[in-house]
Amino acid sequence: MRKYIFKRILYLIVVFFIVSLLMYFLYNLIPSDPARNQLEALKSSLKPEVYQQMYADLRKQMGLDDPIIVRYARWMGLIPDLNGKFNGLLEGNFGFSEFFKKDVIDVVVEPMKTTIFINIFATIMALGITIPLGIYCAVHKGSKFDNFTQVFTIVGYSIPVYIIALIFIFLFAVILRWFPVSGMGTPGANYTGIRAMLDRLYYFALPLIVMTFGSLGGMTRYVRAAMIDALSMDHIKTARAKGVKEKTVIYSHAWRNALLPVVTLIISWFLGIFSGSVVIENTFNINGMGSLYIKGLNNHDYELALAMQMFYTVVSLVGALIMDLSYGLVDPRVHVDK
Amino acid sequence: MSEMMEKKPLLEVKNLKTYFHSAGGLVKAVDDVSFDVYEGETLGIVGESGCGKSITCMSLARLVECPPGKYEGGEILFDGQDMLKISDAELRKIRGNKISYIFQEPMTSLNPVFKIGKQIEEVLRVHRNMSKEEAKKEAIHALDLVRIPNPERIVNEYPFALSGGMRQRVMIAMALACSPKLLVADEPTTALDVTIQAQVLDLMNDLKKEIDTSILFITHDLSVIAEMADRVMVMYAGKVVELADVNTIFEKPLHPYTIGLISSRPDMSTTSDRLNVIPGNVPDLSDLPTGCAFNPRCPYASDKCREGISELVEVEPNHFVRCYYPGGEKHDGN
Repeated sequence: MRKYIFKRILYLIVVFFIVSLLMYFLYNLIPSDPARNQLEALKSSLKPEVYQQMYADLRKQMGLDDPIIVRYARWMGLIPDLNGKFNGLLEGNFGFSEFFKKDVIDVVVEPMKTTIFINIFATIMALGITIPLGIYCAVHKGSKFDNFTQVFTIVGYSIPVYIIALIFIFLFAVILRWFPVSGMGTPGANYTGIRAMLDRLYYFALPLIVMTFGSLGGMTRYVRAAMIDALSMDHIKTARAKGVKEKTVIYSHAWRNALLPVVTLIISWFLGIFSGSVVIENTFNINGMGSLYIKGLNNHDYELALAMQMFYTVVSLVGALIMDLSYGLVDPRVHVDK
Repeated sequence: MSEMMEKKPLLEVKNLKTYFHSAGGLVKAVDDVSFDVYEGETLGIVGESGCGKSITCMSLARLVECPPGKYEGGEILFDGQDMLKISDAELRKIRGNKISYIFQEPMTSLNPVFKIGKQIEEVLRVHRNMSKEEAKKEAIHALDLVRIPNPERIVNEYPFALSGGMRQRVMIAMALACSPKLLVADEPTTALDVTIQAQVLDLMNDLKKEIDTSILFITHDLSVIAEMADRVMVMYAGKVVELADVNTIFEKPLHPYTIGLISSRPDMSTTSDRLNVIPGNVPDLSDLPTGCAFNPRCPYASDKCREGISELVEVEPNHFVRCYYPGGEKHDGN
């Protein structure tokens, strides 16, 4: 087991470097010139020769004329930068955001908090609803309630999330006026503690409901299908013939087997906590990771976008490892020590 | 046989009807089936696939899934109680305790994600209120009883680590853990190869004596029936067509279907290249021929057979046949 994890981490590092190299190359294909961006303001007030000289100096100073592989190594922190210090990704320097004029790490902190806050609530709500609902439908397969849920979930599954968002805004914010249309807090209010938290939840309620609702369909159907499969297995008959309570048959014997396919979904959901939904965040004007990423791309702030991309790379690599290890925990037939 | 009759029946099934309401129509999987199982005897049920023998046995502990199944009538008297009338809680006390099951597929009949030990302990803890430690000790003992080597190690294994024969032994250990009065074995050796099959059958016969249980043994394998059963019940299209003790069935079958079955066994003494077969196919249970369901395949069928079906008649002591022409004799004028 330990050997396996060690081996997997080794692979993970190799993949990380390959992906980062590809990413760095790709982002360098985006036509943007940080040196020109800095000097653009001065261009009109300088003589062309002086400007050209300054531009060339700045490019040299920023290391933009070096071969791309050297720049990559510097960015990664594998070789010293122009000041002679190791100062790259591996040393914890995620770069400088040209657009926000701040270190990337400082730019990311707030949206990250927001996104995690929303996603934790949405995930718990979605799992809390879909798992019991899916199990109930599987156990009462073919009942009126099940048929209704099937229709309801296929509708929910088919409508894109931005349509759901608009419908819900119209319903709950415009007509019923239960929730604010958008935003992240009461403007001008200076709440602290619990009050601030409640205010936040009040503003996030609608996006949360939309996110949960959007994921209900697929997830419920998935849990239902997995549970129906598990309930139709031969050993369920054995369990019933043993005189075990129906509750134990469903929640212990069947659910443990249904969990095998469902666990993939659950874990990928928890990993998704870090990534913001671009559509939801933009619709509700929430400053989360999704909208930040779009902002970075729209403003040619490629150090910011690249750093975020690298973060997601690490999250998904570690996530895949956790997922594989969790199979071994849930299914005794899977051995994770080879 | 006569001493058998003096014993009181452990299980009395009277006019059991288990139907399935499917999209294709009403399927009478078990249609008016009556039989008794006496203490200490092995009753074999034979018949082709889809003749209702499994559903009959599943019905005994109400294991048929409802819907689509439905118990339309009859009584199943076991231990003074009608299994079709008692509450679910009372039923659970009987399942796995007084009536135990062994199923056909050892590869899929055990829960793949629980350890062998846990699955056996579960029965004991449900019915015997044992503590975890006691149950574990008892589970090891049960595995030892079915001659599994290293039971202390096997309790901590998952089912995937065992072969088919071993898993079937685990199933037997689980079924016998509470010393049931009736063991229902639904084709327990069909999925096993012949040598393992013989071992499992021997084991069942030995254990039957040891814990003094009755066995209801379902199979479509006549040689297995010959080895295991005291009495044999032959089913066709959801109905009992013949019921007699095992020697009578093999030596003097009276129902044309049973005659066909017995003569279709490979016989070492004949020189014929081909085996005898019963012409035709098993009828579709949702679309049975009128009258006796066997009439399209029966060499002795008359108009009477196409119009109605005989009752199960005791033609000689303890030999019941459902046929107008038992033994195939044609009564002219009928």
